[in-house]
Amino acid sequence: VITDDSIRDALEHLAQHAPDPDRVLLGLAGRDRARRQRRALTIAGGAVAAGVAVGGPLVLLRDRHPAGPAGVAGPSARPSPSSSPSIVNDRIPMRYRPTWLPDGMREISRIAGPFSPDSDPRQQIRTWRVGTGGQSVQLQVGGADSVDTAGLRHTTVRGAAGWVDQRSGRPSVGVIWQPQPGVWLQVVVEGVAPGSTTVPLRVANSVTPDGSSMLEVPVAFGWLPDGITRAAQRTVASTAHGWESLVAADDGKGPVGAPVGVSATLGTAADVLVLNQKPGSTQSPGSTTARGVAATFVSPHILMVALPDGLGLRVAGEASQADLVRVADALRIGPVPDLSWLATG
Amino acid sequence: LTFDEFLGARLVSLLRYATVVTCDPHLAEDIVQEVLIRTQQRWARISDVEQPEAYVKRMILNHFLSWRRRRDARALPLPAAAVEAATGAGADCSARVVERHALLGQIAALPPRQRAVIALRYYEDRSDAEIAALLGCSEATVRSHCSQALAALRTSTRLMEASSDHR
Repeated sequence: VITDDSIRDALEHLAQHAPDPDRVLLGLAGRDRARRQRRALTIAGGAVAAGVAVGGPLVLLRDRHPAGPAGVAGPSARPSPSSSPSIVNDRIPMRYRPTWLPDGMREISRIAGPFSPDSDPRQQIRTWRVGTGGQSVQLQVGGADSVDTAGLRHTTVRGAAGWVDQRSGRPSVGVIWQPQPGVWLQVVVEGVAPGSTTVPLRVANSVTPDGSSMLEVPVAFGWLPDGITRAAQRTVASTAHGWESLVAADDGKGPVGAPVGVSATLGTAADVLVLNQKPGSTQSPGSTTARGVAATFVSPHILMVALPDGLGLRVAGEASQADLVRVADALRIGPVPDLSWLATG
Repeated sequence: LTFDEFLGARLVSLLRYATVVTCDPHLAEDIVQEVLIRTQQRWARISDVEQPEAYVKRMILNHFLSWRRRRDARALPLPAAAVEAATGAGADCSARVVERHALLGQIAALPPRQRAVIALRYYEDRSDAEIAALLGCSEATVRSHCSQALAALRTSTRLMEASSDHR
């Protein structure tokens, strides 16, 4: 018999299974950061390839790890403007790869670095896609100490316990498993038929240690404003007209306080230097000099610099204009890397 | 009151509320995160209202109802697995747990506005007038939703009991 008390009892019991607030706070910081990055990149035009869902499907890779400095020069570093081809690019080995993908899939981006404060600095994401708007596959590598598998379906991936994430309301299917202690892998496939796990499971079962693929980043910070000391993402991605590479750093604060950071994007000028100003915007560009050439502040926090050989540089962040110019001047820019793996155009 | 202070004091309450309204802890987590990002962007204005928590709860409710409209348009199944995971019925088969599990499953199957009325009345102890204000409808509509929901729950229970007796 249903009574008012039995309804209250049931709802109170359900409330006791509310999500962990700490996990929500971490997710909140990550989402806010991703939102602000997407907004800044959209304003500046081009951006990391559309569909590289930074922060989106990483539900299972949230983590609490000590932040790692990972190659970012501190505030005391002296600026050293340079674009010398003698500079050696950063090369980050990609840790895993799938040996099977649906026909027509081409890799469109490689990302390395933490996606939220306190997350694993060795996180990586690789994305493949068919065409420009078709099915996509992401391989995410993280080092979560524990993973919330509540509500997920058990499976087996290459002999290891795994879970299928097929929650209603999400336009993707994920498969997560632990190939070795301290390492979690997740394959996320978007564009599958509702209820189908064939492709996600086949991709997951094909994943092996990589050993050869590299994320070669041709741009690195030489100076950063006070307090911004933590390396965030490093990315190479395809764009409408070619490629671009992004490096980012932030203050590493969180989880609730949105991290403050800067980013530098080097790549095909036709993508990097495009300004998609909102209709009705009264923002007027401001001229300056950076890296010895004329440069433009297209907004108070986005600096654009045209470089030789059809390249463009965009420096964005929550810093003063003088600091953004100094960041641009001190960037170490190396030769264009081997991008034969990248689907372009 | 800063946004961080608000979160520190009210986040647990918001998560429990969202879990009850959605009957799905995973969906509740997603909705609360999205609503809090919007809240943070508008905090200067929201913090000025008389009851910021009530305002944010209304945002959660509206977000859930709009999400349900989008989801229902695609005719996806109800989150029965999420309810089962939350109630722990699989691990404890005592009669009370089974009854509670069945009741939560029936609540989860209610139309979204009826479910919201049940959650607001029985979990939040809101009056009809308060629920009407939250849902943007009349008190008569609230009473109608509530009576329809309770009738559906009692009918489901009788059907289950009949089915159990038959077996």
